[in-house]
Amino acid sequence: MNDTMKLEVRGEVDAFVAEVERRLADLTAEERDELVGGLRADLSERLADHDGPEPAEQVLGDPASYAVELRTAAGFAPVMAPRRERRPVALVVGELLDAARRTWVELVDKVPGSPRGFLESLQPAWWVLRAWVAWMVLQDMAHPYVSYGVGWALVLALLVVGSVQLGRGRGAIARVRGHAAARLVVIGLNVLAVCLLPPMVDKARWSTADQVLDDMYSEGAGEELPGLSYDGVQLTNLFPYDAQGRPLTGVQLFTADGRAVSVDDSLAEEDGSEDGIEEDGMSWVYPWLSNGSPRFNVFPLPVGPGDADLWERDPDAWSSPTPPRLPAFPFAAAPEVVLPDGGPAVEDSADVPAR
Amino acid sequence: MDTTQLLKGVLDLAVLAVVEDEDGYGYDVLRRLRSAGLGDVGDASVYGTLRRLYAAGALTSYVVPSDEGPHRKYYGITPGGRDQLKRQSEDWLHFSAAVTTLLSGQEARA
Repeated sequence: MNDTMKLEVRGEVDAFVAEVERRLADLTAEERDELVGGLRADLSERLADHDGPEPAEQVLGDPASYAVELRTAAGFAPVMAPRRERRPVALVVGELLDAARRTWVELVDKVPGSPRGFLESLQPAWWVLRAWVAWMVLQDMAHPYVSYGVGWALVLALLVVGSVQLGRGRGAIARVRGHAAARLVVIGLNVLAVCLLPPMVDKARWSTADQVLDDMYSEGAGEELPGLSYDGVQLTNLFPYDAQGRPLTGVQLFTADGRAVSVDDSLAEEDGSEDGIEEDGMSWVYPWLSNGSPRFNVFPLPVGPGDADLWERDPDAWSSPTPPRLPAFPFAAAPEVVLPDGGPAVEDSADVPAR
Repeated sequence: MDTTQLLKGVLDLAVLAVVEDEDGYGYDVLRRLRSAGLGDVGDASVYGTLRRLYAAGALTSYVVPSDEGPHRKYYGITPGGRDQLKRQSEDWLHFSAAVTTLLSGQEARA
């Protein structure tokens, strides 16, 4: 025993132990320590004991076979299983998927009327549909609305091609299909597409509705409100005053090109029971007459109750107990106005019809 | 005759026997086996066997640090190891006696 003898660890021993250790990589740290813990001392001592002319490497021998011997004697598999934990996972997943598919096919085949053929015929429709879902998701990520521009149409076309090729098992995109991980990804994407289908359909519907509304609004903006309006609100009456601020009645209004400036004769307004014309209900403006034909461009227009049942003007209003009357002016008198040159250009404006 | 195959069957027994009286480290155990006449035993087999017996609870192990070199890992026998040694010794004695008897009978006839 040379417990006390100084042991020199040579580089060859370190290299040898490292090589052996490399072949124990599948063991736990504890198992490995147990096996090589005393190995450097043991091998160094063996080298020191050896007094032949052979080089150290030859005395130590082949680390690979040494590792095999060590593993076998210690009760482990002779050789480290290469990547034993990775392959089986993929294999197991693949087998599980195959089994699930077989079970599904068997289940479907039990239903009478060969529904499998029917479902398989529907597959292409699903390939296109899932491409559309993906397209909608992309749109959703890009902006809050749905665009039907050329660029997006191109994206949709590419997605459809990719999805169909994947479904048919053709092209570069389908080359990954055999791998368990790729199969899981495809299954996950399909499930996701199914889940996202309802919200995307909903989004498409809303976006279409929005578009219709937008169109309506833009049409509405271009379209003028019928009759007389001010600040975007239709008017039912006007109250003219002359330059001295006195109320005027029977004032006819025309545009520069001679068209009558009339109120929208279909308008009625909730009556404030002003002038006691109507206690509650709707009041209507009644036209002035010109040779028997109604004029709605003469102000102020008389106001009276309508036919409550028919929701229209009462044709016999003027002979009713409460005939239409000229409404009260907002002010008894308006401020006096003058032109910069001192007076009204038209002098005879004082000729006000009596109220 | 190649004694390697024979050794494999009795290496546990031989190693237990070697450390029964005195604790030893790997190379020490190997040297004792060789000086006892088991010259064909490979060192990796001995070290692996020590580890397996330790894992099975037949041996204890402890490290003796050294200032001047790599530390040494010593193995000692446990009560469980002694039981195993006793059982296997008996088995071996029966077995070897039977084989010896068989062989001596053949020798006598020859």
